[in-house]
Amino acid sequence: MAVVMASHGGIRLAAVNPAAATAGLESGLTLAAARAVVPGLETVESDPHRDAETLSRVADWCGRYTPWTAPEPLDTAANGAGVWLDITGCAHLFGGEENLLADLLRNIKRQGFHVRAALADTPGAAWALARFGQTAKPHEPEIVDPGSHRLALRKLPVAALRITAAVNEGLDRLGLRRIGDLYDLPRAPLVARFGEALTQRLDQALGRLAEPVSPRSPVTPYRVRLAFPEAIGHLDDVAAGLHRLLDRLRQRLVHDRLGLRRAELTLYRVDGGVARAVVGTSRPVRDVAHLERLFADRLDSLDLGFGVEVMTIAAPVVEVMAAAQANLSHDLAKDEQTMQLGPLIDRLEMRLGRGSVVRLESRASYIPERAGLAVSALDNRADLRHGEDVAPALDHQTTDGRIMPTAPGGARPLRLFPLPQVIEAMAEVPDGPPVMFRWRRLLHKVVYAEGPERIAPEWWRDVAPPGEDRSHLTRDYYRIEDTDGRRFWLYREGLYDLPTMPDAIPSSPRAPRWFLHGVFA
Amino acid sequence: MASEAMAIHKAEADRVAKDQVLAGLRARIEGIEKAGKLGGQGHQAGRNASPLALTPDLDAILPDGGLTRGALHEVVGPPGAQGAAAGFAAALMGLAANNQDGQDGQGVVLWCRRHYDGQENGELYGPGLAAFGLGPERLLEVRAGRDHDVLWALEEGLQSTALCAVLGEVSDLSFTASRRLQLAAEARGVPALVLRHDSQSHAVSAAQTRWRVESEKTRWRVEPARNGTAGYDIRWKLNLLRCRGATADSQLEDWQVEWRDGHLHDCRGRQDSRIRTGNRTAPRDFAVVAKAGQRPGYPTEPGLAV
Repeated sequence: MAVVMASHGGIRLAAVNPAAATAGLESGLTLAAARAVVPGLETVESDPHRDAETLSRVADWCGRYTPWTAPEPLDTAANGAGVWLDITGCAHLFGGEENLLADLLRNIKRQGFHVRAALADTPGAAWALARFGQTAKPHEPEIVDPGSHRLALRKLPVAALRITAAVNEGLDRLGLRRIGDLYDLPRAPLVARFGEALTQRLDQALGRLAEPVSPRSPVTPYRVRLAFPEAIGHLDDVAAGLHRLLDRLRQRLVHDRLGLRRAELTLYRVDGGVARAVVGTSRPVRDVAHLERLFADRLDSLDLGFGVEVMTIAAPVVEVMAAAQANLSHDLAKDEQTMQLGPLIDRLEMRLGRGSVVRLESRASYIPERAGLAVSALDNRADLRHGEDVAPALDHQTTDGRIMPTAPGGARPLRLFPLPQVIEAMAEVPDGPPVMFRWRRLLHKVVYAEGPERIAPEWWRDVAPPGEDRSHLTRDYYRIEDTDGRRFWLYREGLYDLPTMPDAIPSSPRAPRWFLHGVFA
Repeated sequence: MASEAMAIHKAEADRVAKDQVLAGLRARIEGIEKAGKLGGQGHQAGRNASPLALTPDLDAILPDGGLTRGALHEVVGPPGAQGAAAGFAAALMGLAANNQDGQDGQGVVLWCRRHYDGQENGELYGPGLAAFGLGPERLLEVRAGRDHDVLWALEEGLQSTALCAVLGEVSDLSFTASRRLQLAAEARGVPALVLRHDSQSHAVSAAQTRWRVESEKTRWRVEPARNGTAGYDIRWKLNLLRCRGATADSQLEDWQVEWRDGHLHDCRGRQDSRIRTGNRTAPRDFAVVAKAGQRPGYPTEPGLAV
């Protein structure tokens, strides 16, 4: 079988499977030539996007061995697609490097992949050995002892250095066929002839130059892992495993005095797939029972496939969490009540979506829509009970020196329209209160009106260009009661006759309009 | 002889064990009966078991001598923005938040609605709600997608020990949903309120009470409004459409209540010289609205209410 790809000059083979390779085919051959050699050749159209997807999935799956995995970009994968794994500090979990590699190969071969693996001190050496290494038994992983990669690379062809075909050909013409041939050559002529790339690759392979590999997903130090001897397929078992993992994570968080704001559960399935669930919390949390409840909603939607072999929990976002100190002077029952608020908000947000739980904070502003502000309950760092300190209410002083809050009983509506509703209103005198008005096709007769409360735009906020008159944005608010006793808050935007100001434009640019802004209780 | 004494001793021990088992079973049956009881009046073991006092007259009709905390209560109002019904519901929530049984402290309440209600009927406005004792530190608003989610949030809120009342604005409440809420409220001893449209006022539900609230003509205070305070007290006309456990002869209709100084007050037969019924001529006695031509002038300072 072969994968074919349309390229300039006809359809060519992009990759061949072992059977086709033994029959003498190789990638780069045109399909016609291949058919001449093997008339019954089966072909598949190549699909680079799905290749990349598959590779990413494999990289995700390899996360069961180390959090540090990265798929190799496909365009450099002329010699087969690859995945990097940094297993520093992970091998002991699997009983040594040999066992880890053996386990990896066994599992990944079961998924139907043809793989070769190599383990070395540097990414470059591992890359070379995985593709060009000659072990005694084929398909055995190649493991290079620490420090001996220079020796291991000596016999490999120069193509193993991840160089372009042109450079490869150039070296070939000079008779430099093995990597070992390059070791003792003076570097300056090499750079002059082949550019920086060759010496850079050589240095990277030998560890003289650092080659950072960025992991596919950020690596967090707070990550716990649980492997099952046999794949589990029941949600109850997953929940039990979750409990054990969370308990272990909690111990580490307690030790470091941290609480998590985000937790990621990853299930590695037998079939090579990965299922993920992420939960977020409103404040730092390390309570196992609370996290379990948050995950409980998500578990049902996880696809367990044919079973789960390994599960991990990572806490990518952690925050300092002081130990809770019981306050003797406080009512303990009340403290406990406050503590329960965080979990409740988390559960509601989890199900209804981010930003669905809000608090109505007050802000120091005379403009009604700015005075009341809905803020997400999750943003609230301070305790909900200390909301007063967060947003000082706007007070003003009366003539006799008393401090009055802006919105005492009844002065502000219960409901405020986010967009003031345009109404048709009729007033006895141009700048008086309306006599009747029409809102949503209903005619309301005004029995009583109270006002006006004049609110001018805040000049310090939306700075007007010099010379522009903003008096047409001044609002006159009226509290209105109609014949049925319904109470509304109306305002007229703009003024009819402006007081004579020296540099004012004689008449406002827009005619005043009426709006309904709120509904009173 | 010795064996006989041992036999007696054994019989005695058996009897004691049997008694213990029986006592345990009785306690369990009692628990089951209590849990299954619909609208259990004043039987809750919760902290907030004592009823919520409204006004003396209303408390006299209500079977528990006040609004039962561990129960579902419906508030219906005329369609539209429902200012009056929402106001009465907010007043009940404010009372529940500020009068927790056995605790001087104040609790947090949950107000659940659909997020598109804000565009249609207006968003909840913090400064207005603060007048009902629901300041920003008291109130959590939940914006859900549909009725189903609102009901779920209510139940979730009733399961938490953090709240002292929950309220949901829904367009439709099935009997099953109302029964679930009633049971959840009963188990926690916390009031659950549902704000519905008038059209639903005959729907079957497991709620303990159903209030129909309309705006009542305001009695305007004679003294002029000053410094932004309202020149009136908020008044509602209440009809108690249903009340589980009320006696047949008690009058359930046409109550007038007033929200003043953070409490509900009866208005029946109240003759206050300060108050008179509002009409268009009455307030003209004092200059609330300046006559044309006598405008309060251009604001001396920008942003200042004149």
